[in-house]
Amino acid sequence: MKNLDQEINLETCLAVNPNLVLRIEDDDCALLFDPDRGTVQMLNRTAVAIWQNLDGQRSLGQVIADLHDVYEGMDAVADQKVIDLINDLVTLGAVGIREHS
Amino acid sequence: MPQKVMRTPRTVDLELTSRCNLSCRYCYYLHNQGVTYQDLPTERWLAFISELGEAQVMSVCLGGGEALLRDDIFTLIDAIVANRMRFELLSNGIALTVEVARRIKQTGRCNHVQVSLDGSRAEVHEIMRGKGSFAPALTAIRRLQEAEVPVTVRVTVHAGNINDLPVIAHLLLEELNLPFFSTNAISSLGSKAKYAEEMFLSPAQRLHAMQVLAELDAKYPGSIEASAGPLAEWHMFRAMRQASASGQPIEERGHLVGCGCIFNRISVRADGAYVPCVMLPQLVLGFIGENPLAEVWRDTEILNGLRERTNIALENFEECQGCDYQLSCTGSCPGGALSLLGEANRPSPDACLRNFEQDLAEEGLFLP
Repeated sequence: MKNLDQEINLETCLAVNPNLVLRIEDDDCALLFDPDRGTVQMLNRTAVAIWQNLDGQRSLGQVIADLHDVYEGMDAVADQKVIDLINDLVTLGAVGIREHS
Repeated sequence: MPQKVMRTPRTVDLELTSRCNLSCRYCYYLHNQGVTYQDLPTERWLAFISELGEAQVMSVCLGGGEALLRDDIFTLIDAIVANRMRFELLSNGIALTVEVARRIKQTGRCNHVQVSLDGSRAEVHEIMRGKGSFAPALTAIRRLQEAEVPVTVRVTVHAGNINDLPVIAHLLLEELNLPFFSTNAISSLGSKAKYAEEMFLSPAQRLHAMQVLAELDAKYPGSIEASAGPLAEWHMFRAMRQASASGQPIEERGHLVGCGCIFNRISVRADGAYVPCVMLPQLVLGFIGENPLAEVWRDTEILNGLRERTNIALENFEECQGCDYQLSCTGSCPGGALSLLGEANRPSPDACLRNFEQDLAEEGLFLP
């Protein structure tokens, strides 16, 4: 993965940091644990769905398109919230940009 | 509101060894009829640590005995790190060399090391912990600080160190510049059967300890922690008395809600027995390597029975009848109840405010 401070666009392929642990507690709540930093973030169901799609193969645009298939009525505001979440996860070191050779 | 049981434990206490290089007179572990003093080989622990990783446990608390007496301690810690967990270590400090501190720091995964220190000088610290134990404990704290490992100190309050508490606080907070330390009191487990008479605080001493710690708490706001013992009781009892006087009970009390650990934490004894908590070592839930953690956590009758205690109202107990504090009381720790009464799902008598007030009154004292 490249350094995390690179600019992200809809073509960017993103991958989760494999050192992090996603603990799905139930349908509505998951904990994202960073053992190196000792931090815990709470993720809701949508955030978990996004997380599970960050496989390093799909672009951010594809991840958002997949969400449109699952959640009816997603609009531009919702798309922006997804991008904001991704940016937050990048800032936290939880998600990085996948380098393709 | 009932507490939610986590999918798997968030934290697991591992008593890695039953061996210790001290014989503290108040030890809850030593002389404990509920404990089998037998250690497991490295391979058994490594397999279990791998299982903890698969179960997505976040942290383990390493204790014993004295965990640093295990020759394989860093093999086990390396496995904890490899399995994406963090750890805490409880130690008396004696085996905590410069090299040990350096290696702990190197892991990058240590939440903190807790060193036990009961006095500001040898003659106080060593009353309960034995000759020659003070200097190594103090040195260990300094070594951890120099290695930049987060260090906490636990002070166990007893009759012999109450008057030293202000000096201990000065030493820890002002000389050693620790951000905080924690306090507790001697529990009714383990060595109490052997030394009970000389160890436990009398009602007057307990009140004195509460007042000394309350003054220190005011002097060093936020720097003295207590989840049990005189300072915790001071805050708890004052809140209960205020609630009783105002006629407005404290919310979500009046039931056996004094223990939250059973919803997010489990313990493993040195012999590999799962137990709900280090304070409940008699209640064996199964054995590592034989019973999967996930099943023990989810399906064990004993553990689920303990979780049900939060639904048991204190009004059901004869000893709570007519008590002004009933609706603001938590019933305290099930470990105390099991040890003193042989039954975990009862209010623990050693934490009863009404009993304490009556004991004080017999000595012509009262809780201010």
